[in-house]
Amino acid sequence: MSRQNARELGRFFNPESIAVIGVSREVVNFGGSSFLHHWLAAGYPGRLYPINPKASEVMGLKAYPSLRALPEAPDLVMVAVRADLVPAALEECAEVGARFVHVLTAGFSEIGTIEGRELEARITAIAEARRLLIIGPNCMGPYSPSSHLTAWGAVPGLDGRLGIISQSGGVTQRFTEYICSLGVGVSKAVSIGNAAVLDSPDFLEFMAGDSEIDLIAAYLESIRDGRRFFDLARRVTPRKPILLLKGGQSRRGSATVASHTGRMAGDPVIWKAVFEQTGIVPVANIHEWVDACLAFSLLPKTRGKGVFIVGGGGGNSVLFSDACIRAGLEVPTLSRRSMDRIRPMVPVAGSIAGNPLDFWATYLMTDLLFEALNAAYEDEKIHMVVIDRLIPRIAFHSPDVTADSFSEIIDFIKTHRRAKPTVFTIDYDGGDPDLIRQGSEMRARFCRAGIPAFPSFERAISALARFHQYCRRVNGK
Amino acid sequence: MLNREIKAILEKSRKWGWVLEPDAQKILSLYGFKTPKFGVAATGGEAAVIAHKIGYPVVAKIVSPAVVHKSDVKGVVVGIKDDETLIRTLERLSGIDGFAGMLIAETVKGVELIIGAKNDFQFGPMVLLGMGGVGVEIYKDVSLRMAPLKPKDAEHMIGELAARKLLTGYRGSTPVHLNALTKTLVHFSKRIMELADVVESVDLNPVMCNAKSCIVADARIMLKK
Repeated sequence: MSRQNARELGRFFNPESIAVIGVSREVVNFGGSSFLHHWLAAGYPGRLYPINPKASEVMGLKAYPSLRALPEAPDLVMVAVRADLVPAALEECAEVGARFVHVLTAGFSEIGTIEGRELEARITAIAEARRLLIIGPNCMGPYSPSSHLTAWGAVPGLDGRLGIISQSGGVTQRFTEYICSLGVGVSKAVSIGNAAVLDSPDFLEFMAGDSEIDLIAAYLESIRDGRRFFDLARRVTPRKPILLLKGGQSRRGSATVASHTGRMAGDPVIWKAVFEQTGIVPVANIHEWVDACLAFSLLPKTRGKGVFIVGGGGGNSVLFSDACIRAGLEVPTLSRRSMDRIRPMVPVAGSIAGNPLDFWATYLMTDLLFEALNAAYEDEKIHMVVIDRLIPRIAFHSPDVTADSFSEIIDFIKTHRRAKPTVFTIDYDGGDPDLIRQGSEMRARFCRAGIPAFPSFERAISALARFHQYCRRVNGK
Repeated sequence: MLNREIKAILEKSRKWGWVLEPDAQKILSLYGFKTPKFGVAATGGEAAVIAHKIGYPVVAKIVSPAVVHKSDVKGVVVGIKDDETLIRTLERLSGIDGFAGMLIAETVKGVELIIGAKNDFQFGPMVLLGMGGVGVEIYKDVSLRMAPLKPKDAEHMIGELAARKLLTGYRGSTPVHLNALTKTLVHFSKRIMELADVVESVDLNPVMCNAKSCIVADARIMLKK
């Protein structure tokens, strides 16, 4: 594509009309029909045009024999016909003046045959000759909850400030479901598959300039023009963080990349250099991706690596301190002023005043928790706070801890939210359904209120460590 | 832009697909890198004259379009201290396939490093810094960055090496001139950008770094087909 026109890619995410080539008459199979079905279910407000020469009506919509028969040139055409019929469909798009095309069909370079590669080369050639903007082939295409374009991904999803560029619809499906359930919404996502025409740098450039997007998450296996991606990313990361999950970092993974998107994964050592030089934030799996998303979307910038740890108990305080140090963060001794505030409220036996603050009563009495937080927010050596919030257990030896103090805690942290990044860890991922339910409800409640809550201390710390590294780089230290 | 002399050397090297060492050294010194004093001899008499001019001990190396990896054919001899050894070495090297002369070079001392460049299929020209000798083969102690480098990138590369203490001074050893190393890396990365269209990879191996400077003691430049 012509690079100066990245802005026009926005049309993919808010089309006023969509034509679907390749819709079956009766059954809703995966393909054109299932996409139509989902768009209808999502209440897509634009005009939908099923193209089928043998049908007069599909899912209650008037069907047309061809694009030529339509009353208008549709904003977006989705192509879902057999691979060998794709070139003809693209020619038809060009003929009627439909420039934005999503090719869902698989069976191109990823199948590893000469025919597949040649067919894909034809797509590229047609796009170039006829100035078509094509997403795909072999992918799920655009997604945008605010436009009701939710034929895949989290449904109904949640509108937000996140942009996603992905070479996998499946990975993005899980990712969007996960983050949307925690209240982090998506502005636009695109699954680009083999990226025969439009590649990740095109969408990176588009999202960099999109005022509706503050944070970019990407799942990539390969990039054709890595140098362009590199140069773009370097310019983008100081303004908008890029969280990159890179697939194909092992020999086996790389081999799988070839049969997934027909491309080459590239040397992990080289990708490491790319991360170092561009400031892209690498994540290794979907959990790190989600956790980083929470931290980067919800937290105020941190000015250092000193962590204040609240709660947990003796052994946990030890383990949490170890985890902080391992992640490259610090657990500083509190200032004398902070200690003077905290010491009087902490009993000498059974609790430890300091950092970590091992003080069971912070679970029960919010005023004690708030006093500790206030001390930490004013302490110059502290830059971030992690609060271990236990799920109430039957084995507790203390009075009722089930009293609902969420709203109070949320209010307190929100009024202090510009102060210092403050997150919760609420852990349980064992097999007790009651603890699972309570844990995930508690986390979701905090997250949806804009306060990150993680299912383990390690996950909280690794997200904070990533966030700290990014902030330090942006601040030029 | 490439200067005329460099262009001419690259042009004549195309028939071999790579640049013979004397020519590679010439290119590097034209670019302003520090290189050892050297000369190329075809006979024992010539060799002795060059060696005396440079001063013993010297290094002798095979020059042959057929030999890309000189040490594989025992084509490198270091620490030659007298005419007799020098002439015997020349006699042996002249039996190697494609013999076109023997390069006689000044002996330089320092910590052995490798500075390399290659064209990656996705990202284009990139620069590698590694510890030389066993460091690169056994420990794979290397750091990589996209070219061109900013001074800060070069500093980070040095900082990434596990054996960086050998450079910054360890147990009383003299530290190498880090600023010279940084400058060499940055300069190299910029030249690589200029050469990207014609050159497939470059290996400066070894680069000898000491308290005063970084000297490129050997270079292999592979051309694009």
